Amino acid sequence: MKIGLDVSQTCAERAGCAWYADALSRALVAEGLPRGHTFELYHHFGDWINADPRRGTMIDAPGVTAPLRGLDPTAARAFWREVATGEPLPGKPDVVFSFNFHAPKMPHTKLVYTVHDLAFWVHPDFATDATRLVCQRELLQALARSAGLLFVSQHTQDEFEQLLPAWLRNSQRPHQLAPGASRFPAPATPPATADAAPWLVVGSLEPRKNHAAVLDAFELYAAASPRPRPLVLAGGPGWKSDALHARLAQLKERGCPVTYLGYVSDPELAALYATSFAAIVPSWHEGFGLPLVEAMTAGLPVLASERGSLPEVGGPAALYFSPEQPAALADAMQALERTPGAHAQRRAASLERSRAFSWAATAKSVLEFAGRL
Amino acid sequence: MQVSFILPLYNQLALTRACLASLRATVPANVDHEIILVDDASTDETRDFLRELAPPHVVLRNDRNRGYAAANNRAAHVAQGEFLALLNNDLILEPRWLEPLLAAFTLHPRAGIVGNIQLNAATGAIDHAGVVFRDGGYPVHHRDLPAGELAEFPAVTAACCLVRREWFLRAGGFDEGYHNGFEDTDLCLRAREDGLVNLVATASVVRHHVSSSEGRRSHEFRNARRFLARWAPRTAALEREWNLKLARDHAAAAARRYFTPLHRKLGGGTRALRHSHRTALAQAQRDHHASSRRLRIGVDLLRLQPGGANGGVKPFVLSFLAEIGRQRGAEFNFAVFAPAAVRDDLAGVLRPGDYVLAPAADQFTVTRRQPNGWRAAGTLAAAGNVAAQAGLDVLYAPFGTSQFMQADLPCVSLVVDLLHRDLPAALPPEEVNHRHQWFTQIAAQSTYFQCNSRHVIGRLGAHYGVHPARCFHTYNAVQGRLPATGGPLPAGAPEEPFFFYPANFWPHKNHEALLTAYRLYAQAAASRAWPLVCTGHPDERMELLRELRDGLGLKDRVIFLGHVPDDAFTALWARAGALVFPSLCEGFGMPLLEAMRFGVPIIAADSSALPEVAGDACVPVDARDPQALAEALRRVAIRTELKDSLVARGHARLAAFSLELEAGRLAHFLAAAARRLAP
Repeated sequence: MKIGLDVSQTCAERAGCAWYADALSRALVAEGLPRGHTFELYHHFGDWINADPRRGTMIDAPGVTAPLRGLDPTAARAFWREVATGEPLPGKPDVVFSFNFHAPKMPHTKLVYTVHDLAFWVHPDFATDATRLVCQRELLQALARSAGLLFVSQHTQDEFEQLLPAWLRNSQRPHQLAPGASRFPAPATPPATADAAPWLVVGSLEPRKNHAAVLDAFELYAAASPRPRPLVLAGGPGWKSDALHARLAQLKERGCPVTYLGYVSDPELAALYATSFAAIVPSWHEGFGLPLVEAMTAGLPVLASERGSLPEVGGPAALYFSPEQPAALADAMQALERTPGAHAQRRAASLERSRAFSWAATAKSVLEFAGRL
Repeated sequence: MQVSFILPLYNQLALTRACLASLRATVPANVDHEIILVDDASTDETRDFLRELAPPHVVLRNDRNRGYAAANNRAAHVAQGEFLALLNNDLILEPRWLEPLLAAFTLHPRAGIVGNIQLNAATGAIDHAGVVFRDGGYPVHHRDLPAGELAEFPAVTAACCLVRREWFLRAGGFDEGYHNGFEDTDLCLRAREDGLVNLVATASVVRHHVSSSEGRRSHEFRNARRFLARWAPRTAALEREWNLKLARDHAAAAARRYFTPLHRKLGGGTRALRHSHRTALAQAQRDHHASSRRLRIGVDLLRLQPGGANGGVKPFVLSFLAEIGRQRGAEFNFAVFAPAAVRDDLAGVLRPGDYVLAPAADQFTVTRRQPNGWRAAGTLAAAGNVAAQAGLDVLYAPFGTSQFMQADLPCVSLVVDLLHRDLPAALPPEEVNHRHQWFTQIAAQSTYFQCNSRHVIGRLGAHYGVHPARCFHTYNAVQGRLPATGGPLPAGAPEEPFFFYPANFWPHKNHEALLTAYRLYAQAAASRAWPLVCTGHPDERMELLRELRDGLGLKDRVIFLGHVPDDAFTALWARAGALVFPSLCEGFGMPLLEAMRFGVPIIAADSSALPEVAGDACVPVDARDPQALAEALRRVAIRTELKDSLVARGHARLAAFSLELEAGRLAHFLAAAARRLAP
């Protein structure tokens, strides 16, 4: 097969969907090239036009081309307008994977659309109006235009069926799960349990990620601990988070051991996973939850919210709390720290659970899925 | 019933008894009336006294002292009379005090709040002959007897006044944010904004135990701050106008004195004195001419298109202009800039003396409206100052900006929404930039902003820092524009009841969430589900929405009809089961009023201007959430009693939207701007 891969989201500062696109594209190429498939990477995709496509994912291998990488925004817009009116994509791929929520019109190609989540409808306050207007339009376009759907978790598929009851059955549209995995290898050394090893939270500062609950819990925890471990937050500055940023500044002024690192590079993130005590994933909602899998793969014990896809991904390994109850999280933090053997036991459980997720396995099943279309 | 007398009471029973006695003694026998007494939790024998009263007295009792404004508002809601006579309980009413107040509403077609001459009961001096503004817009009593039977004042005191009940309720009554002070001036200024005129009937006289009310002065500072925050720029302008009027009257009176025959017979004064009096007379005549000649209002409709491509703004502007002409044609002339192709659309709007200026190459061709058609009346060069050539007193820009804006020409701009700042994602970036540029321009240049709703006034302030005193709202009360009886249903429309969404297919109209919600509803309701009908200007996005509908498997249940003519539109309203209006950003929401008019229940988004328009006559819903929207569809479709109560509330609410009042407010501000009466 000739396979088109949307890597448009990888061209700007990356978050969950971009990492998903990057990692799955690399895995598909790795699994696909030996099977004789060839690949096209699209650095602009539909209405997602990048100012600087050169920053996006590149895969240097025979059989992989990037025909749109040299297009400036004006040329890229013109290109996708022509595709919509019937011009075939370069190389005439048999199937194209969308990872960026967009479902452009491609009359000559089968579109496989990835459904990351439906939070823009289920929790309207957790999406900007701008995001929702795009996501709702593109999701419905995908229903009309796609040859198949990928769901990043069973939870996302359930959410889809809740909002679009019986659509999958009535339409007979092929679909399957395509869960994510960690892009970092398992570490050689056991995780840090030294006093200075911090609690780690990974994710941009937006309302859905519920950082406020972690700060509440951390203050309770710190007040009850003689020598509290520090708290480290890593992730982009996000949006609708002015109050959160103000609070972080205030905590810093008070000498509270809370550090916000901002957006971190991949090597920095790998180092954080390797040197932290445990990870906290407090989100109100997730479609999949890459930081949870990454933390488990790194052997970190994980305290996770009981909402969204997190229980599905964390399985029996994570410890769950209600995102409405910071006090419960504070209790869990103390228990993990003080109960003898708890940390080691959770570390083993995380590593065990992480083996259920592999990009190679996901890529293999996705290739088979595409072959059946 | 003709008159409801309203007396708020707090203690001071002796004064109340005296006031009631004078009232009973002076109400003419042929005036059908009631006397509503609102006891603000008096602590003296007032309560026992009230217990013994019989009709026509109506007694209302508040469990605590809620103040003058709340007491009157409560009484107004139970009152039956065509007029409310608001009375303080420390008045002594003189014989024939009521008749001149009633007569004022017959003599003056736009009488708003009518007050009278109030004498200080202790001294006999005039305490009130109208309210004017001093010291930067602060209200004070005018204490000289005005000339004539009816004298126009910016405001009057409500210690004793007459007002139409219907208007009082529609205006929301007194602002309860004040506490025993300034409520009346505030109300009078709102009446002015509605195009009404506040009057003093000089033949009506009462005596007043001035400010004997308990607690009258204790809230002065807080009240003043609230009042000035809302009105100061305008009342300061009214103060300047009043001073000018005084100067004019003074000059005119001096001149009249000089020219009285008696004065002439006595030989007058010296030659120099005679000369100065002549000068004064000439000046007075010029001023009189300036204030009484017709104002020429330039209306920039160059962007008007034939047919329906302008959307709702076309019927809105044409209806308002026609209504202004009807109300105040003797004061205004329109000079309308418009393409020749739409001239005939204007025929119903323009009156004799109005004219149209149509662009043609490098000039404007002028055609006059005559009783029997159009007559060519020359040309104007497009280069240079067109406004000055056309002799405009004020420019009205219904499309916001205008090429005719000039630094020295007052301008009123219509602002229908701030979509480009409230929801920029719904517009192409270049359109956002373009609108931002012209809003920046009009924020700096326009005298007044006509806003589609109070919501829009708030948004204009939030995004461009425009002070509310430069804004006024006019509701788009053109629900009467559609014919009352419809033509045949358009082809493809269902025979059964349906959900109706009339809206162009713009992204902020949120059709995607509606389609998803509708599918949720239809899955659950199965064969009992009402269909969904969407109308709107057919474009590329309508085709996209059709594709999305088909992808959802709703081909048979959701019908896109495109643009439908007015009589077919009425036919659709007659059949519609409910209006569903999930738009994310509206400055007003015209279809809501049409639904109220045609007795159709409403489901509407709970954001932007929609709650202000719908009031309690709708099921409000978070339109971003398809599951919430679906639940609202389900409830309205199956619950008959909910439908009935929504329709009844809609019908009642419709009375709050009167084209006459809304257009009257626009006329008021056009005239105010033209006379340079600006903040």
